[in-house]
Amino acid sequence: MDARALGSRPRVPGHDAETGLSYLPALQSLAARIDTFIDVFGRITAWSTFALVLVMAGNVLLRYLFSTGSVWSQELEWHLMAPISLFGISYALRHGEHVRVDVVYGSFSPRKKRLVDLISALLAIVVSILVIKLSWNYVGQSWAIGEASANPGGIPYRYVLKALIPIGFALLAVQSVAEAARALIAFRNAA
Amino acid sequence: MPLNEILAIGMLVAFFVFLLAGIPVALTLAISGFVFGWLGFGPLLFNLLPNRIFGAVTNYTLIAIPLFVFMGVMLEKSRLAEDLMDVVGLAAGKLRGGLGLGIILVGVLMGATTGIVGATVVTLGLLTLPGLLRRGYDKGLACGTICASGTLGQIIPPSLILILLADIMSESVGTLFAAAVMPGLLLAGIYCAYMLGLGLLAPKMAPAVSDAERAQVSWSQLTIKLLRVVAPPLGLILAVLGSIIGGVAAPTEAASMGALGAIGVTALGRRFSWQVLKETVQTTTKITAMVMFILICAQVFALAFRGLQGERLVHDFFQLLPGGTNAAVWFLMALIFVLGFFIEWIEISYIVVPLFLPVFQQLGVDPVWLAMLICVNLQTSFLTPPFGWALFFLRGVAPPDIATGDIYRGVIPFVLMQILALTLVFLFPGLATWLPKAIGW
Repeated sequence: MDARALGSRPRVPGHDAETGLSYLPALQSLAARIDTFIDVFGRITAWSTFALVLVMAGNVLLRYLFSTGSVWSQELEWHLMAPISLFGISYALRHGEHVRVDVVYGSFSPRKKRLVDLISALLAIVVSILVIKLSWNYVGQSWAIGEASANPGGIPYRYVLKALIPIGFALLAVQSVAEAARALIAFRNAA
Repeated sequence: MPLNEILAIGMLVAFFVFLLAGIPVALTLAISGFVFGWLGFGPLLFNLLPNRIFGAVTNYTLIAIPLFVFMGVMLEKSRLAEDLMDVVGLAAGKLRGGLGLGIILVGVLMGATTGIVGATVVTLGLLTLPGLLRRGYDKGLACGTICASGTLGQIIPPSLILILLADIMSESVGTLFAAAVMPGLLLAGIYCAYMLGLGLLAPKMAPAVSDAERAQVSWSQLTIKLLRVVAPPLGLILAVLGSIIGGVAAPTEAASMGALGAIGVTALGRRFSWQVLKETVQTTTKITAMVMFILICAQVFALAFRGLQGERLVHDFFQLLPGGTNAAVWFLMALIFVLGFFIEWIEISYIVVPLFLPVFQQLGVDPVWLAMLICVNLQTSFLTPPFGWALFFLRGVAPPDIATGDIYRGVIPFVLMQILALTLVFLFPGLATWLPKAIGW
């Protein structure tokens, strides 16, 4: 069973958009390359969920059975959650997982739909750039002091964790370029 | 009217325009928040944003989301629903309306195990709809039962909606899980009563399975199947829910054990493989990221709305309503019900609930009770045409002789029953608040 059945709504199309003629072939191959890149990144990230299950379950067992545990391994729990959330955004976009309301959208002509897709992709790029810009200082300050966990015995790489915010949104911007390219091609073809 | 209030209203309007145009939900939140926050305040307003995002992606409570999704997807892949339906359908088949009863029961069990509405509706639709029609069930009734039963997953704990509401309303997840048990069972109970009533009053709509068909499978075969395939996942979910509601383990902790246990159960059913694990982690990542992206973008919206004094606006608006607290509650319920026709639980939980929450806190409304009213009410958003989520999923798997009109017609009685349940929870708040109190949350 595919992800479609597992709790989300009508997908945002684009990943399976009709690619049509070999119109603007450079754009098309760029989009395909980006897809592959984001897919590899996403599939690797996805294993964090399994790691999270193991780490969390391990901590629980250690605590309840042996009344022991470490700050480090407890912090690891949310150090795994952050990449799932942030790197997963571009991966979910690649697979058209982000939900939309299609009350009106559903009745649009194919050309109009592709136009909305194009605008959505461009907006995603704008939002990504804004978030990267806003988080730049926040992350920069953390790197400058090599910010570590505030807890004794914690994971000393808080600055790396914070850097995941701009990286995650940079990935989103990159995948959005692919979505925009495909929407543009489909829009021209649907003319 | 001050400029900021006009901007706050403009932001809400822009949000709905973008939303209806079909821009993905998360982006509509971020864009309307950025634009109107910027107009009102300039860029300084958003300096808090990175810290908010960091807070969201490292929030301990929300770690329960990927863990519960992992558990649900894994159990889904163990094809739990098929086995449950085999057993329950045959066991209840001799009763008029019995098959329908079986579907409701499976809906409850699937709700407690996987809690994934789409998967449950699709699976129930594929498995049971052809059989129901072949045995002469009314088309509308069959569709309505499947949609409503599949939707129970969103109120029967554990469910994503309860975790998110707990976060939004600053309640513990355990409290809301405990509170949701009775309203969830109440809904299921009402559906069952309706089904049995139909079996008595309109047996043509819900006939019994013929004796000849039932004789093909012996009770001993059924029992073996029950013990081998159905008991392990049910034991797992009872342990997970029991330890959360009983206060033995935090929801996040129990969720991790549930996820691990789901792997064990799948392996026990000889359905575990490398491929299944790979698909599970990938699906889990996509669903988690989708939810978290909306949460991240909702931070932008919330910062802007608060900055623009939107909360005061909402507050002033409620002052205009006559009739005090009850009127305010009913107004919110009516609003969620109407919005439910167009948008789904994610948007409602992230937008409507935070907008109105401060007002209800000031009025002294019990947040647990309010959360349950919202939850029961949100059940309708899955079923209300034209764009209820459950309808869409059933449409996707229904045989061609089922018209969209059959599905719409079929869900109407169930929407009415949901409103009945909502009214009962409103009149008897104890339905929601008794269990958490009795346990001592």
